Amino acid sequence: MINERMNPIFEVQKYEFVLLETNLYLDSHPDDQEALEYFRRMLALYKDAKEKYEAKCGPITPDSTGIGYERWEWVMTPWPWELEAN
Amino acid sequence: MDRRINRGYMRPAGLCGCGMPMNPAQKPYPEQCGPSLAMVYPVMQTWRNLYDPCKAIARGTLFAELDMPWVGCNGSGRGYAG
Repeated sequence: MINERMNPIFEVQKYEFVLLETNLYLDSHPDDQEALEYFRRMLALYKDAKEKYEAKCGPITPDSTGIGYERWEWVMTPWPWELEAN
Repeated sequence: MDRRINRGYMRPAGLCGCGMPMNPAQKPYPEQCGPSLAMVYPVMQTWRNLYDPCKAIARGTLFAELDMPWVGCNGSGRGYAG
């Protein structure tokens, strides 16, 4: 069994998760400056982790498929759940 | 009389649970003796006691205050309590 912490996509997923949690909190607290600041900080970390993952393993969302590739890379690299290949 | 009516979760027919006779204009629910409707007033959450992202995704919540043990039915205390 693959340890999720060893899996490079886990870095992306954990930031994605806290962004969603903060998103839900902000829905009911739109003026909470601390939460907003946290969201921005996590968004930067998420983008960074996603960029690093995609540089190594290929795009994980179609919106980044067209950038920096000469072909439709979306279908050319292993899917994120093909853990052995990542 | 059905003995179950005195066990808290069953009520005598015609009573809404407050002890007053039921308003005849109020349409009873088919399961008259089952749980009643409720109005809920939760307090507003505040931004505090956050988990770090690693723990958050493992626990399924970013907020320590919302990380509550899952208790199965009947309040038996069994089930996942992480």
